[in-house]
Amino acid sequence: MNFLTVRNVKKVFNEGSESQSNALMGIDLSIGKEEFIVISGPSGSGKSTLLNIIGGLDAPSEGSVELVGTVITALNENDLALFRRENIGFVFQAYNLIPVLTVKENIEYVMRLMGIPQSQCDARVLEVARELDIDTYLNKFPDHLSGGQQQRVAVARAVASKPKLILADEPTANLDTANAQKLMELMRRLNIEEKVTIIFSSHDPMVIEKARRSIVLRDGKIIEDTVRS
Amino acid sequence: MFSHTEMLYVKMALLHIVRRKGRAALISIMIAISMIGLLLMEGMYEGMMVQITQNSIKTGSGTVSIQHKMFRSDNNIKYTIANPYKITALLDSKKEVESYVMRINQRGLIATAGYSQGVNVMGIDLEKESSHAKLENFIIKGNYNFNKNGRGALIGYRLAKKLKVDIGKKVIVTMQDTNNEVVSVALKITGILKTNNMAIDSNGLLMDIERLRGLNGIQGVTEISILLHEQNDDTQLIHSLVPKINDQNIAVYSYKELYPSLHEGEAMMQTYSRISSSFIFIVATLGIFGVVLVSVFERVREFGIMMAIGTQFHDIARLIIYESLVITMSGYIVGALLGGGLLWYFKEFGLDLSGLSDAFAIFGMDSSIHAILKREYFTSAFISVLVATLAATIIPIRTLKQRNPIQSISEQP
Ligand SMILES: Nc1ncnc2c1ncn2[C@@H]1O[C@H](COP(=O)(O)OP(=O)(O)OP(=O)(O)O)[C@@H](O)[C@H]1O
Ligand SMILES: [Mg+2]
Repeated sequence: MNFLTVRNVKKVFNEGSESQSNALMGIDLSIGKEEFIVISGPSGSGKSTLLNIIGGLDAPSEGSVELVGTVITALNENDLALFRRENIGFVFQAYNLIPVLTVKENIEYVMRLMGIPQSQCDARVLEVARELDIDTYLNKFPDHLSGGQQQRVAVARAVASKPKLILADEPTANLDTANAQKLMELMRRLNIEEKVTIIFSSHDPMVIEKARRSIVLRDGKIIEDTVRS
Repeated sequence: MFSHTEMLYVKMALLHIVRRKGRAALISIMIAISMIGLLLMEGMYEGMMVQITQNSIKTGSGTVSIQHKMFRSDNNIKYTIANPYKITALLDSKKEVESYVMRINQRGLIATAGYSQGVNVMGIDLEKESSHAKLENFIIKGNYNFNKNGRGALIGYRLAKKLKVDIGKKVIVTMQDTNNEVVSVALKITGILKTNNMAIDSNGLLMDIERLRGLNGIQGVTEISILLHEQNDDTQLIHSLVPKINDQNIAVYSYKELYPSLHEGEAMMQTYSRISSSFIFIVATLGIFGVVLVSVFERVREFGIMMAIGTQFHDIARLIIYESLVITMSGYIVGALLGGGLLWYFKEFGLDLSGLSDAFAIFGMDSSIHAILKREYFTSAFISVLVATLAATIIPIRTLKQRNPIQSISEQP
């Protein structure tokens, strides 16, 4: 059994209308456990659409996605939410955090949803925060942090609940080079230490080269899939 | 009671309010103010209504009035209650009865050197009236007495104005006696009354009942006016009195029958107050609605992220409802406390309207209104706020439900 299998996924937006767009035109993809993958490609090539469908945030027009033995494209909204809670961590481009919660509360949010006791949450938050070098501002609110700090908190939240897969759509797009490099290094370390599969998308060559496997999209199709040694 | 996640949402709702004080405070204050307005309006209205009714009832025919059955249509003194003490003995044994007085009412003519007009001559017992309707409280000029010789009289202030008489002035009162002879008497004005009961203020002259008897030769009385502890016990009392009095010629009336216009006025005021409170309710609903709508729409992205990382939609809905409820209910509590406090104050000490009292006097009001404070004001407002809050959350929640998480996240913050 594969960790993640994407079978013939197609996505058409605004089907039948003038503004119809074929965002994905038949994606087949097989991903193993603990991979560290980047999806790149020009703007509009379908990177976000693919990540959203893999993460169960959007439904494909055709095809299926199977993650750790569950065909998630067959689940309803409610079950999908539960599935995401248990299995997937997300990092978006920006504004990932819940503004009324402190950094610590943001990081432990998913664990709280999972019903993990507070003492265990506390310990895990501290562990992850140390790994990501954010343990000094656990009690601050998101809007008191810089963009780079906020993204690290988002990564901390994504990883804290020990998901099997982390999806990050252009996590470094709003960061300067130094911060982008640092975030990528941290993600790579988590990939190894936490044994979590990470798929992220990016435009930035400096970021792309950090990944072990590189998938390139163009016009909704995979045009390149290479593994660096 | 609350599950683990439930507590989390309650906490988040509270955090959201505490950490973004501005708008929450605004809506709370708005609701509190509406609440205060609503409470004051209801309490003062009802206080006013009760006062108007009470003034006329107290100084007039009472909550229940006993008369000769012909007296109402023909104000002739041959229609009297010949043996009132048989009836008052009955009243003494009724626990619903707070007090009663016996009076003689007779049409007559009042004259000064330059003017004369019709008048309601009322024969009363000052002492008994004092413990019955506290008539002395209505004296606005002069004293509550009939002079030592019993030749004094109290008159209504409008009548005094029309006759251009004042304290110490003499008036001549003319009427018929039981033999249909014309008799008259000179009386000195000792006090001027303002009762807000038109029959007295515009047309009433009150004199000593014994002196009046000496003049017109009436043996009994024309009316027994009764006040009850509970105004609504009127029908019950009437039902129990009529068979015991057992006299074809005696009629027992309720104030509802004697003062139908008062009753109508009450109903009118109630409708008016209901319309105004629904108006306040609608305005508050729209306010709550607007604020909930804005606070949901400005956080669409936040809700999208929450859903993406595993929050189920019904939990988001719950969060929105909790948040709205905490905000509106805190407004309700503040409003209930302040409004209730104000009402209590006006209940105890009254609201002084003396500056406006001439305008209000036409409606039969005193120069100060005492509010009424009822539990149902608070329960009905509570239900209104609750319903308004829930109604206001429906549309934002539905709008949110129609999007998938990614559509919400794509929303520009
Ligand atoms: N919600 C939507 N409605 C209509 N069309 C959409 C929607 N989302 C994406 N598209 C279209 O689908 C195509 C792929 O979009 P997508 O966002 O996946 O590309 P991307 O590779 O992530 O681009 P970028 O690098 O700009 O983020 C584009 O042509 C886009 O216009
Ligand atoms: Mg994109």
